[in-house]
Amino acid sequence: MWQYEKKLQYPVNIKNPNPKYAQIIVSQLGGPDGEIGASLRYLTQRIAMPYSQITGILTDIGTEELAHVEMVSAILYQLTKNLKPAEIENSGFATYFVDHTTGIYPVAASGYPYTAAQFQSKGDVLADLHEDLAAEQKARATYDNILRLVDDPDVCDAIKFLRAREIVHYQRFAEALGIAQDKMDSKNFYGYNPAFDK
Amino acid sequence: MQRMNLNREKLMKQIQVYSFAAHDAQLYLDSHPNSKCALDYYLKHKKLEKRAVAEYEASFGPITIPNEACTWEWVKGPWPWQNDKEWGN
Repeated sequence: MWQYEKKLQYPVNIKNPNPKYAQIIVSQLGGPDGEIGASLRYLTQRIAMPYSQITGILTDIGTEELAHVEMVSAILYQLTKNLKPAEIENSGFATYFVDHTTGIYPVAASGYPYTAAQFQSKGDVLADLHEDLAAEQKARATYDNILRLVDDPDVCDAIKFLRAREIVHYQRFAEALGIAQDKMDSKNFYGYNPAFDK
Repeated sequence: MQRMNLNREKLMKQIQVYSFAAHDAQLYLDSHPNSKCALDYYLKHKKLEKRAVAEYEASFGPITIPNEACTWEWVKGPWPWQNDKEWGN
């Protein structure tokens, strides 16, 4: 089970609302490389993971991703606080606004709602860990793109923190892959799947 | 009100620093469980976090559901996504 802590993992303190930025950053909530998908990916994969140490890594990183869901939500909330309809009208945020007002709803920047079709839980140790490594790099690239488009130090500060975490998680998953391979048959990693074959 | 918010923000920042250091060490320990140095680092920052949380909670309300309480402060704001600009007004 989980227990909530009434605090953000890293402070989010945005002074200037900006619906255009919200329209872009929402992708890290409900988009293909967003934080909800990241969390669900690891928290589902961990159940069938046969190596206890890697189950621990998936549990702890999957849990941290929930804190990132909250941080991205806080960024969106503060970017859309006290907006006037006129400010929304020509910002690109109008299409989101008409369906969700300024409520927080997981969609990609393109408007496509969050779907679990964006991630895999393959039940295969090597396939899952390689998916995790790729996912961290794709999320890092999305944060790089956000930093290319956003020019507000308050927003960039929080985004840079989230970007850095993708790199740390990538490192931990690389170690997890090493741990798995040490336990597998080095002459043929694909000889059997330790999550299924006995 | 302004001064109280500044103090709250400062204490919260301290908690965030200690808990982040401990959390990052936790992930490292998951893949390096035999690192005595990482374990010491983790325990040191957990201790600092615990102290900072106790200090914060004494003035500004609970961060986790309390084990004991005279009144139920848990449902009072600010919630983490409400920044001081919003809460100060």
